[in-house]
Amino acid sequence: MKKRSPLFFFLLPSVVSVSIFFALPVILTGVLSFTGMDYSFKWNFVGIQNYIDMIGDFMISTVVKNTFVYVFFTLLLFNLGTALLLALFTTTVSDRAGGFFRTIWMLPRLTPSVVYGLMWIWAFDPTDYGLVNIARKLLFGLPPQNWLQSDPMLIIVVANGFVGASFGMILFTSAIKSIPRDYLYAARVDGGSWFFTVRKVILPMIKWQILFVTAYQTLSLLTSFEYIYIITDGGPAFATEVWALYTYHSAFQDFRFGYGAALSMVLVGIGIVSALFYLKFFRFKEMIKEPRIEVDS
Amino acid sequence: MVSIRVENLKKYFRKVKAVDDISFEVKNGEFMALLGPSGCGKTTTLLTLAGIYKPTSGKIFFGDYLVNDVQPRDRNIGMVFQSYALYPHMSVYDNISFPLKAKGSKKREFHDRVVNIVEKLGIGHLLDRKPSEISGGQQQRVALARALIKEPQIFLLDEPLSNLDARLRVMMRAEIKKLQNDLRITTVYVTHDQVEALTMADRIAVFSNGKIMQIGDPEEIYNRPQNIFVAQFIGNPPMNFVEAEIKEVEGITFAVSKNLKIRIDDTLKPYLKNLNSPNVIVGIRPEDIKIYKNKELNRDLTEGILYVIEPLGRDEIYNVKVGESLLKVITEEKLKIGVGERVYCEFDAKKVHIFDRESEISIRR
Repeated sequence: MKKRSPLFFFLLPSVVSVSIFFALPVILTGVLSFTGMDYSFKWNFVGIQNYIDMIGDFMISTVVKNTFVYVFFTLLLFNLGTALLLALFTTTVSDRAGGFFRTIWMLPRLTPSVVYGLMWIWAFDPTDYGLVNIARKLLFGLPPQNWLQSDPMLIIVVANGFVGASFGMILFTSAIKSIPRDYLYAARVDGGSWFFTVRKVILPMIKWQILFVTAYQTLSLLTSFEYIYIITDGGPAFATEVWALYTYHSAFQDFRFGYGAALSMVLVGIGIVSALFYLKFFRFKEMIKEPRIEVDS
Repeated sequence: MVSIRVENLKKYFRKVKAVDDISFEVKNGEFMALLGPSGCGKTTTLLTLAGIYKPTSGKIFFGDYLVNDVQPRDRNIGMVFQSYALYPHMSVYDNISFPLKAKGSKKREFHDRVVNIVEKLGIGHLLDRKPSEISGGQQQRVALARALIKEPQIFLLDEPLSNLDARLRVMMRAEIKKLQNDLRITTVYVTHDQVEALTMADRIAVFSNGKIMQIGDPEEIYNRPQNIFVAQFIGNPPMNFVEAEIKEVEGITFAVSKNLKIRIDDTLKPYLKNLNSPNVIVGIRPEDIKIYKNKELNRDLTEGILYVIEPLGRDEIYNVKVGESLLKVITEEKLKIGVGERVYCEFDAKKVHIFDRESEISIRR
């Protein structure tokens, strides 16, 4: 016991903080999800009633569909797609130009989310004074359009994507830059288009980073809702109501804390399942396998 | 096959002059070595030939064709890197066929060619392996196969042997030379190893600080170094250098220093007019000094003290202290002399190299 005490002492701060801020909330939410707690804040246990209610909830199908569209397209088009393109382009041009463009793409991340959200609201303002409508009028002479009514999901995806792309961009950029230059020289000498080199040499070499960004961003997109909350608040007519936002609305708008807790437990479940799926799909174990030591014959 | 002509090539990285106004020619089918210490600009030159770097100024011709603005993939070159640069995620087969696939060939079109070249290089049994699963020597052969599969008109090698162990390096040296000889492909070979350059190349360009110090065949580079840099860089153990002054004594010309007096051979005398002052540096290779135990008459001997002996198996290197300077003498003869004993050195007057002390250029330029 004497030997273990210093270990315990050093671990204590992190054990305590992780317990209080991570483990405890999960347990509390889990317990809460079996109650019918409402604005009266009473722990009246109802068993799995909340989960049964979920099946009958007419909103669920809309929310699932919205969540899927939102996560899938934001991830594919921006957090992976745009991020990858930005990383490839900014590492192809000179260091200076590349750094400049990457800095520009970092700006949304440096902007407070409320300010950023309000900028999008202004950009798509339905009146003559919205940025997009000004451009539309100048370029095509068309009348203003109420974008937040007509294409709310598009705006949500784009707004989130513009923030999200920089994360992958930074990771992919450093991954591409750390590819030994001989591989790229060899590929250039051996012929093949830029696209061929990207597909056959660069992408396989940054596979691990692509997996990481995919998995990490899926999870953060599943649980993020602050930009949607600010820009559309799930509207119009629940067109942008995603799972995380629905959870928030149930708990803090309808004061159905028990039901909200149950919804978030399901989200945790979905997150775990998708993480496991990614690990399997990208054969994670193979990637972290120890390389064989080279021995000269 | 094609010749290479480089005219006034300069490559600057910002203010660093990596390659500073060099010109040379590689003849059709010739094996040219670019030799020099690290950071001398030889690899930069190679990468500029490959088209990876754009010249700051100057012209590069392949045959009569100016290639300055030609993309690397359109230059029809095969290249081997020091690291081999084998794609780790591809099998040996995929690595070797990569240049053909990049050009849009289908497997049924190139399969025979792959089989052909791997048979030639003796790596036919490794086709399914990943580069991490084969030895360094085998990786080297795969890299050679990948460079040669598309039958390039120019073969560029960047220190291809430096990642191999000493024994394998000697083996591959001969193999690459044989391969080049068989294919008669115009080859530029970058190395910092003078032995590789001397043993493999038809001609050698010696680089220092972005400039070419001398171009010539191995015999010329070794026996007629044009400046001190080449003289001290080529040869192992390196040439001995002594600061001296040219003096005439009783009709005979000598290079004289405090402790040394070296006779200048008649064959060298006509070149002495190239000197601006009598101040010279005399260079003499370790094998051009003879060492005697006893003072023999009728010979021009210089007295010294044996400092240390380095046995090399077949030869021995005797380090002799003459005054302040230490001379290295290499000989097959095993002399029974102990360290600290008195010895006598004789310089082969015909093999003496004389350099202007100011310009460091040989008088036989």
